Formats: sequence, structure tokens, C-alpha cells
Amino acid sequence: MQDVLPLEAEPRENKLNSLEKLVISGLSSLCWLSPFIGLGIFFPMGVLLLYQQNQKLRIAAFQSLFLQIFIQLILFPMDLYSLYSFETEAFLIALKQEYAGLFFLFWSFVGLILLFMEARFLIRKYGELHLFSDKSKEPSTPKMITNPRFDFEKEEWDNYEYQKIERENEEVRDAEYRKPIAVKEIKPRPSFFRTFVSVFLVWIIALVWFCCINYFFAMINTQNYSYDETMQMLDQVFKGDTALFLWFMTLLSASSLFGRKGILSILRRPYFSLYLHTKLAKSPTYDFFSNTYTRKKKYARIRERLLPGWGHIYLHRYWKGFPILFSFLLIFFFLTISIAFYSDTTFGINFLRYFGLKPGMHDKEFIPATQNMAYPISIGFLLSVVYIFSNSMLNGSLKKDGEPISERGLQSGFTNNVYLSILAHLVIIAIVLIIPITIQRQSAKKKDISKQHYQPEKMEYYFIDPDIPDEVKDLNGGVIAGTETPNQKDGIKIPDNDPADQGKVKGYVKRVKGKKLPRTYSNYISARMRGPENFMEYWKRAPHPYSCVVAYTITTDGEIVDVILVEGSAYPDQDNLTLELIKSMSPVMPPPNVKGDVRVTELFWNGSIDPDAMPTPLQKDMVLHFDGRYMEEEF
Amino acid sequence: MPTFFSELSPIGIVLACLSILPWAFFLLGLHPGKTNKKFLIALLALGLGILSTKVILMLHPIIWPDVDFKPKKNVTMLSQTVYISFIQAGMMEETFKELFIISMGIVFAFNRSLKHWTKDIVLIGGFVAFGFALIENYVYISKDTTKVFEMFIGRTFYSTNIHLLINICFSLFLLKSNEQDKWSDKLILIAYGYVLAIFQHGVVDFFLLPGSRFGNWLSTAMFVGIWVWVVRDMRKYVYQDT
Repeated sequence: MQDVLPLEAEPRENKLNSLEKLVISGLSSLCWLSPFIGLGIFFPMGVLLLYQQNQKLRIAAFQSLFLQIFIQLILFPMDLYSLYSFETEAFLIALKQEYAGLFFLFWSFVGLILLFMEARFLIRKYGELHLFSDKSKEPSTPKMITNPRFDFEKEEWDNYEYQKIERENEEVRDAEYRKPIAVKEIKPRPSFFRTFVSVFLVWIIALVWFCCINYFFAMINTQNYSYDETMQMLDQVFKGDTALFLWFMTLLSASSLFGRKGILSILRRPYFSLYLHTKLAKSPTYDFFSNTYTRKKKYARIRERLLPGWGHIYLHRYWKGFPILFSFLLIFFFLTISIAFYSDTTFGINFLRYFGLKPGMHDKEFIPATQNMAYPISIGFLLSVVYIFSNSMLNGSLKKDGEPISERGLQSGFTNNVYLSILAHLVIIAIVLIIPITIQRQSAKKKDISKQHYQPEKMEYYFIDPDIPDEVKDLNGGVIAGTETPNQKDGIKIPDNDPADQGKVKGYVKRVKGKKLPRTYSNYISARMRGPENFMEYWKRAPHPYSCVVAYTITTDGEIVDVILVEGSAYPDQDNLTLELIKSMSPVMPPPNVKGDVRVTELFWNGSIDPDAMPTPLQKDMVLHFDGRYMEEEF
Repeated sequence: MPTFFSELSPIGIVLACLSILPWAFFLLGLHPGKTNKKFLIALLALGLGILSTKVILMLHPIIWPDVDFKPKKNVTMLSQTVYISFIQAGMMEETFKELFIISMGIVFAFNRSLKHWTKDIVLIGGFVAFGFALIENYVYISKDTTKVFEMFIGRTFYSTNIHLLINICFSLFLLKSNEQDKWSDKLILIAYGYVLAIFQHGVVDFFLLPGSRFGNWLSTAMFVGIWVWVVRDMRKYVYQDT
């Protein structure tokens, strides 16, 4: 009986003409490619919404969607942790570099377990694995057939009253579709050794295939890639979500060697639930006392409780559901921003930068305002109101479920449109308060200041030392960012594909792990600089080695003016980019506890903290400062 | 003329053609009607799409002359992005594309006796978009030789399709206007379709131009949303009786 369930491609899907088959194959491929081409979870969601008949396509979309969400649930907390501070970021970068092999092993092991589970399920169902099926003895049965010993009664979906629902479905009456069940043949189960060998073989195939794909992309992305560098890159493959997605994708395609015809066994239950739920929601309710309506009501309520708006969307009330959903998500986003800024300003800036955003107001107004607890509380209250109100509105939608689906469009009435109005206002607030990093204001006043720059003889500088005092109140105080270099002389060889994109590599000082240091203005400037650095791909584009010194003034209003190149490099394009980078930061938060403007002299370099490696005396001095930055108040 | 051809990049031309080819193949293949007529309409519409690019490029310096003057009030990047997305790109591009769709539609996809648009208007809309995207993709792919592959992927999957969807959406509004009895109602609906096309273009570009992760999400969500809407309407108005 299980074979009538939509967990595999239906035979009628073969009746499509060749062009339609091509469309379905193309859409399936796009579902799998969606994370690589920037369509993310949205494309599979669209496919699930549009194509409700073709199981092959729906299975591809569902698996892609599930994998993407699963990977994001694992990796997003790590991203969030790395955003918290420079120490946590340095810790995670070091962890990924030092334990890349361990991560590789872990995810490979997860893949192996997944393959074992799949093999177990297929043996229970078919009595064999395709990899070891002896076709020569059974010429008349080219395809695997269902093993009647498979105990369907114990399967998990008997709770779903599938028989009753399937009776309503005329499609399952197709006699051809029931054929496999009619075959009465009991097959002996393969030995454990054979199963183990076949699983291991498929696992090795998946690993080799995965490495080949990575190697191929490494080759086309980097010219003159040496063997060592390629190997180094492969060590770090498990650092991104796309790599992890690629691994699971490879694993899934390799697992089809077992003879899997439909969805992965561990996803059968959620997929079947989705199938039943979608089926129930397809038609309007005619009998409000029926079991069907009770179940529909239950599923809609569960959805609404999980995510406001989802229940309305389930009931095909898109004009009500989507505004509620987007309003809720936007308010939730505001709440997380307010909490991030309230807990720590640098974290708040980093959090916004992660999304490619920055405050739309001047930092000197925005940051002090976020330190008020009233904002997170009021936004949290608003979120609760939206949640409660949308859940209560669901009852109204359920009562009107007899309405034809084609007539559930935009309707008049306050409750039907209030969320549309709220969403429009929230969008305007979002555009005003948080804007993309690239968007900036023109400075109102530009002073032509040409004052003195860095003067080593006047400076009171100190060497970077792990014993940094706990109270660093100077402008120049800060927390050491970056990665550790083995020693002062050797420095570190920075691979092209690497986190060197994160910026400067710190030198021979010991990394200060877990030492709590006060947040300082210099740290704030570093955090602010990360946004344009990432957007302009500053460190990615920088040649190796690269160093230059720039000077700029931060006025008491937070404007950055008088940006000049003090010492250029042999790469004028990169030097210009450095000047653009500084200019694009303006305006910033005004420097604290100063009466006049602050003149900053800053070294940009991508080597280690090694004075001997720097080309000029000024750079030899500058490299020893926190983030290569020296700030002095102008009088 | 020889100089013009010698300046063309062969790889750019091939990639630009490849960036529209798969979608053009499916649109043409799935469209109901006789093959010869479909081919003729598609080719003409493609030509008009290319022509619309030329017209826009020709008129651009006239409508927005590149004058070097400082505005009295400082212009923010936000207003610049809005201006580029909605006015310079959205309104300008969509106006000419829509004009060409209507002009060609009146000749090839308008039943004068019944006074309604035929399904071929969707084919015209789609191929005018392809013609426009062909030239635009060529320009972008040839511009930066260091990022040819990334640009090709982006233009193929994203830009070509958004042009296609916006224009098909407008064509579907023309088809929907058949349901209106009064001429004034028909015109209002077509005007809505035009405004919607500018709005769609503007909103997608607005979130996409600054290149933020959050903006990309919104833009992609909108893109998929428009796709879902268009496919549903296509099933209803174009593929239903076939």
C-alpha cells in the first residue's frame, strides 16, 4: 500500500511530452543549483507552490529546500558567534583553519551514516540494493520491485489515515501504478558484509566526486594553481554553506546507486506530511463538521503558531498571509538589531554588516539611541501584538473557508488590509533606518585641513603585548584582530583563496584568548571599516605583499575629511582603492572625550606584524600599533 | 561598419546568445500555435527588442545629458539609487519595450473583428525582452573580461529572466484587458500593467543595485514571486485550452 503514496515519481509523469519532460528536468536542476546561483530557498519554495502534481519535481524542490534550511540552521549560529567580537571571529577563523580536516571527517562520517540509513531502508523495502542486484539471473525484472515482506503496517505514516485520503484521489486508481504491489516475490536479504561494502563503495564514490568538483572549480577560479595550493584549498572546503550543500548533493546523487527512486528515506515522513497538508488545502471546505475540516484547521493553526501569516497562506489567503508574514519577519529583524546594538555596539555594526547593511542615520544619533532598553522592549511588544492578532485573525479565515479559492483575493475591510498598510510603513522605516553599506550621504561640509601627520618623535607608542591593561581608554586602544603568525621572521604565507580576505594578519604576539578588553574607538573604526572592505573586496583585490600609509581626519561631527596618501605602494590602483575605502566610511561616530578633530595615520598591509618586513621606517613603526592605526587629537 | 564588427567580442556574442537561448527555446516550444507563425513573430519581436536598446541608448544622452554641474542640494546615494532603479532604468527601458510590444501586437496579435488581443502577444512580449536582454547581456559580459563566467551566470539566470517576466506580465495585462467591456476600463488596465512593469523593474533593481545580502534576499523573493504569478496566469490565459 505504501507504493501508492507520492514518495516516488508517478508513472503518469512518463506520459509528458519530451518538451514538458525537459522543462521538469530543467526545473529540478535549477532547484539543486539554486544556492549556487543566488536563488537560495526561494526558488524551491516557488516550485512547491506552483507544481503540485509532478512528484519528481516536488521531491527535488523539497530535498533542496530541506538541505538549505538544515545547513543554515547549523551555520548561522556560528556566523552569529563570529560577529560578536573580533576575538570570536579570530577564534572561529583559527578553528576552521586548524581543524579543517576534522570538520571534513565529521561531515564525511555524517554522510556515511546517512548512506547506511538509506541502505537499511531500501533493503527492508526491496530486499536488495541495486548495486549488488544480479541482473543476469533475472532478465525479466530489470527494475527493483517491492519486497512483500516489508511491513507497511509498522511504517510511520499509518497515523495519517492515508487510505481514506487516497480514496478521494482518483489518480491513485491507476492500475498501472499498483502493479509493483501485486508482485509476490520474497527475496533473501543481502549479508551485512555485502551491505557494508556497497555502502562504503558509494561513500568513496561520493567523496571522490565531491573532491573532483571542488578541484575543477579551484582550477577554473585560479590561474596557475599549484598542487600544494589546491590541496590547501581542499582542506578548507568545509568552511562555507555552499560547500556543505555540494557535499550533501553529491551524497544524494551517489545514494541513487542503491536504486533509490524517490525521496531520501529520512525525508519521507515530512514530505508525506506536506503532501497531505497541501492536498487538504486544495479545495474549499463544504462540510464544516467533517474530519477533513478539523484536520485542515489543525494544520493551519500549527503553521500560524510557528510563523504568523503561514496559516493564512496555507488557506490560500495570500493577500492577508504574505503581508502578515513579511511584517512579522521585518519586526523580528528590527528586534534582533536592537538587541545586538544594545548588547554591544561593535556586535550591532557587525550584525548589520553581515546583511550588507548599516544604520541609515548618523552613527552619533543612532548608536546612543540604541543604548536605550525601551527600544528592544517596545519592538518585542509590537512583535507579540502582531503574533496574537494574526493568530486570532486565522479563526475568521477558517470560518470563511467555504469561499471558492479563486475569490480569495484582495478584499475590502479593515482587518483584511491592516497588515498591508503596516508592511508599507515598516518598509519605509526600514529604508530610512537601515540602508545598504554602499549607500552613503554626501558630507555637508568639507574642510580643507592640511595638518601635521604622524610624527614618530612625538609619539608615545608601545609594543603589542599580551598583557594589555584591562582599562584602555585611549583612542588607540583596541582588541587584537586577525590571525596568528607562527613567528616574527617567517610570517605566514597567505593563500589566494583565503581568509586573508578578512584583512591583516597579525604577527608574533600571542593571541589573547578570552581576555576581556574594553571596547574602544579604534575597535569601532575597525568594525565600521569591515563593511566597505567586504563590499569593495578590498583585501581580495590587494596584491601580496601590499602596504601603504594613509592619513585622515575625523571631525568632531564624525565626518572623515582630508584623506591623503602618506606613503604609496607600487600599486596605484590599490592605493586609490584605499583612499576610496576611507572616504566611504564617512560619517562615523565622533571620537569620545576629545575637544578637537582627530588625525588618524593608518597602515594598510596584508603581511605579518614584522617591522623587518616593512619597506620604510614609517611603516616599521606603524606596523606595531593596534590595527596599524595611530590617532592623535589636533589642537 | 567594419570597425564596428571588428570591435565586437566573439566570446561576448556567443555568451550573450547562450544567455537567452534556453529560455527562448522553452517559451517558443510551449507556446500554442503554428510553428512557422511562431518563428516569424519571435524573430520580428527579437529584432524590435534589439531596436529598443538602440533607441534607449540614442535617447539617453538627450533626455539625461551628462552635464558637469554641482546641484545646490547634496544628492544622497539613496535618492540616486531610487532614481536609477525607477526612472533611469525602470521607466526608460519599460516605456520603449512596452511601446514596441503594443505596436507589434496591434499588427500580429490583435483580432480586429473581436477587438481583443490574441495569445501571441505573450510571445511578442517575451521575445522583445529577449532582444533587449541580448544586447544588455553582451555589453555587461564584454565589459569586464575578468569576471566573464560570473557575469554570464548572473545575466542568464537572473537578468534575462527578470526582463522576460516583467514583459510577459505586461502582455498578460493586455490579455486580461479582453475581459473588460468598456474601452476606458481596458485602457486603465493596460496603464496599470505599464505602471506595474516600472514598479517591478524599479523594486528589483533598487534592492539589487546596492549589492547587500538583505537586498539580494528581497530581490530574489520578489523575482520568484513574479515568476509564480506569471506562470499561474500563463496557465490560465495561454496554456489552458491547448
